[in-house]
Amino acid sequence: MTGQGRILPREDARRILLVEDDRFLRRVCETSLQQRGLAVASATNGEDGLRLAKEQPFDLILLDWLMPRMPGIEVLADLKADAATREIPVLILSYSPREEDRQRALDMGATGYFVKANLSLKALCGEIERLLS
Amino acid sequence: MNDRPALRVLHLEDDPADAALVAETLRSEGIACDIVNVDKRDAFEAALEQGGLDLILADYHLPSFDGVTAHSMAAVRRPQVPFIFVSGTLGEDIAVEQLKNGAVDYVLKQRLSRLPSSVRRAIREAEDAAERARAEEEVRRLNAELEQRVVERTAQLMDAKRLVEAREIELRDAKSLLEDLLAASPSIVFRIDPENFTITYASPNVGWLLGYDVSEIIGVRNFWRRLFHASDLDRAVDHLHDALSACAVHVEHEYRLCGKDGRYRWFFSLMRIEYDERSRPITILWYCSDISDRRAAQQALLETEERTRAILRTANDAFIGMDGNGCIVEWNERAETMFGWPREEAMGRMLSETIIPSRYREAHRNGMLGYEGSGKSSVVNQRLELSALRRDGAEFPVELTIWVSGGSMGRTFNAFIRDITERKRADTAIRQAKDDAERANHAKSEFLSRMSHDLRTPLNAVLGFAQILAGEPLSAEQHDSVRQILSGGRHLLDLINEVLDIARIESGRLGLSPEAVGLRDVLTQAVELIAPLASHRQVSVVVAGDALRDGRAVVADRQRLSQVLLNLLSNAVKYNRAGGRVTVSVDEPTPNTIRIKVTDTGPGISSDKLRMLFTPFERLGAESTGVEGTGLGLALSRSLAEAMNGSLGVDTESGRGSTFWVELAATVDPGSMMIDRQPAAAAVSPPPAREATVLYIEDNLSNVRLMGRVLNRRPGVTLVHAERGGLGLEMARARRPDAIFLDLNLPDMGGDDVLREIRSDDGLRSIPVIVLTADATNGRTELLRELGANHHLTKPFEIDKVLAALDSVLVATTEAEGP
Repeated sequence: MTGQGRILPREDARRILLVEDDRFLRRVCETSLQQRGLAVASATNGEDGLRLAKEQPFDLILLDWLMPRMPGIEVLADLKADAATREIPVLILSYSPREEDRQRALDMGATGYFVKANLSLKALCGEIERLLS
Repeated sequence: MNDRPALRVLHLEDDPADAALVAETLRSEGIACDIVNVDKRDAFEAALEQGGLDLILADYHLPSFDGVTAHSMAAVRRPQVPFIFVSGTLGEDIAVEQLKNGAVDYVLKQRLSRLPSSVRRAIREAEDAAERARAEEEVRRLNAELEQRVVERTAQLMDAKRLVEAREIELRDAKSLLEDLLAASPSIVFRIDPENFTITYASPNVGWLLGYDVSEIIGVRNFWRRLFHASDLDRAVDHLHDALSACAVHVEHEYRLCGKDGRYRWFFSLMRIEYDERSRPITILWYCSDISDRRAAQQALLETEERTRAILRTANDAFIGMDGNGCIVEWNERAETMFGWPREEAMGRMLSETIIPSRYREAHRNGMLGYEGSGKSSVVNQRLELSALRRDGAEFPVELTIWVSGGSMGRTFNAFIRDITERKRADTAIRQAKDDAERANHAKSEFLSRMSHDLRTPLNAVLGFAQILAGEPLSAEQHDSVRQILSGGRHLLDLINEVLDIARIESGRLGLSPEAVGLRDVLTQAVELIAPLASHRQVSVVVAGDALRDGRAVVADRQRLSQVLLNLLSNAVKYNRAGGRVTVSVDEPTPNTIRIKVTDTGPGISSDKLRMLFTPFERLGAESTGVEGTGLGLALSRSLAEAMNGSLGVDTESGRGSTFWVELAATVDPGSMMIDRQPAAAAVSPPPAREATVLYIEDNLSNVRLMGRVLNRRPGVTLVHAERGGLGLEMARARRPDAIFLDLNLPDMGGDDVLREIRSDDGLRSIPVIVLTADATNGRTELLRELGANHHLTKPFEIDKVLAALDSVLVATTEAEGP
């Protein structure tokens, strides 16, 4: 945290796509990322998220695993199958702490996997900043 | 006024001179004007109609018209245009009235010089009026506009108010819905102010879930700590602390929360925490769901699993589970040692490739496919014995039962498997031992049977010829020798018989026929039989007073009981002192038991010898006393008593004599059961001589000679002889003998087969057959009777018995043939 209040994203700010149906999590993630000077676009379901990802350029995607209208697993598969979006790092947000789910996401090309229970914003944002630097 | 355009003037004047004068007066004063002169009503009206006038001038008196009417018309049609009377005769009254009616001024023709200033004033006033009118118009317009705006704004405000009302209703509905939802929700919702950790909101269901009223909770500092079970509070505080320092936004845990009544239940706790830009928490939303049922179920499941694990871990048998694909999913400790595969290596392997010998794998696969298809199997739920494969390739026998359990993850095939190598080995050893024992037993029986035959056959000759000799006229010395031979022979026979009896008892082949045996009969008989020996030894035998009382009976085999009593009596006589006494008495130690006691007056038995009293062949030093005995009698008697469910014992005191007793179950005397004993006198009075032929089939020639000598006592009887069974049958057919003596052990065929032939031959069937055998094995008599033997005598035979048997069959034949 910079301690300087909210920084409005500059024209050349890095762009994050946040695909998450949980309003609360979407809000806290948006807020936290914007405070770090990142530009955040949000989608509340998989379909909208995938459409946005194809329409606009993003530097990183935060993707919920369980969502209405196209789950994260399908969005991820589509992103990784498309040359235009393949290289964008994707971090998964999931309720499942099961190792096989994590492994599956990573096998499909996800860059990271965060379990929502006890999700730490510091850890999440730290990982995002590390990936973008 | 010079820059103004020319005034457009309408002048009503009938006198042209006056008109010109007026025009000249105005112009001379510098007032530019275009004057239209009219003198008639029509023209005036037309000019008014046409408009564009700045000023109207009018004479008062006109020939066809008048100024007052004109003024009235102008006031109606052009009220803004100033109207000035220019006349020579207008009276003061009319003038005032017309001024009141709106005329601007009146100028007398006589004082025309006033006209220009009047005109100027009129025009100014008209212009002012026009200006005022314009201003008023503007005000009016602005007013109207304002009013319109007010109307519109009012409408807008009304709409806004309605909207606000609608939103309020919506909000109220939403709030009400939220309250309803929360009231019945199994999750309590709290909002915590992280600044001071007070609860700023609590959902109403906190009432029925924890027993608190919302008002007791809201605003109370640190109240949330009170909600935790004492053992969970520290944990919860740590969790929250960690969460806040990591900026965690979604924190899940499980805690026990205490109700107001002090009872606690398990809750799922979810905290959602929002932070400001300085990472300070703003709000904590805390959801608590009651999961006590789930926890209880989980706990129970855990305990069950734990128990199952423990059972499987310590089981003596291997426990193996296999899923529907044939993969190993369970593998306990015993399985590790039994099959040589550690659990971590075994899990997930194909079962068939791990423990099933390759030659059975195809069958295993087919069995699995069949089960998948039909749900049926010949192996499931069956106890099976199979060969299993160890990791080192060795095979070993196992016993197992497979059962199927169906879970949500699909079927599992389970089996407890027991290594039965040891059992198989033991089974084999037992079978081997049993076979050995049976063979040995068979050999023993064989040996006994053979010994019986082999010893009795020569003894037959010895005793038989000795008996014949005894009947011959001999010297006293010779007689004594014959008696010695007979005595020794009989002793040897007793010995053989007793050995055989003991052997039979040991092998459990002693045939007994328990029945109610009256004591009076059996005792009387025994005492009678012992009497000759007793008198020879000068020992008196006494039966105690009530021993022979009627009605006393025991359950026993009559023959064997006699044997026991005779043994006890003969011992009591033999080991008595000369002139001693033997007392037989009976008592009932218990209501259902009868004890027969034989008391002697001998030397008694010292306690160190008592121990060996019932040991076979133990004669306790009697062998040096010259008293005859086999050393088997007491051992055999005790065995017989026990075989009849009784017991046999001795009460003795060294120097005071002994009391031997036999105890048997008491029963009711069947009454007048007189034993049909053939009196020995049968041989004393031979039947009348009768011509008869007797065939003796026997291979032992000394026996044949003995028989020849015996039959000398029946002068009418001719003995013919065959050494073999086949020859015997031929001779029987040729000679048709009156009776046949048949030995059972023949060189060419068994005596029983000869008997069968005789009984199945029409010509021979009626011939009586007396079987003579040295084979004393029990059960033969019955068998021989079934085969059709008329009598069965064992060798060495008593001459009297042979003659009695022969006489009885010959008599029977004679009677059958008789008239």
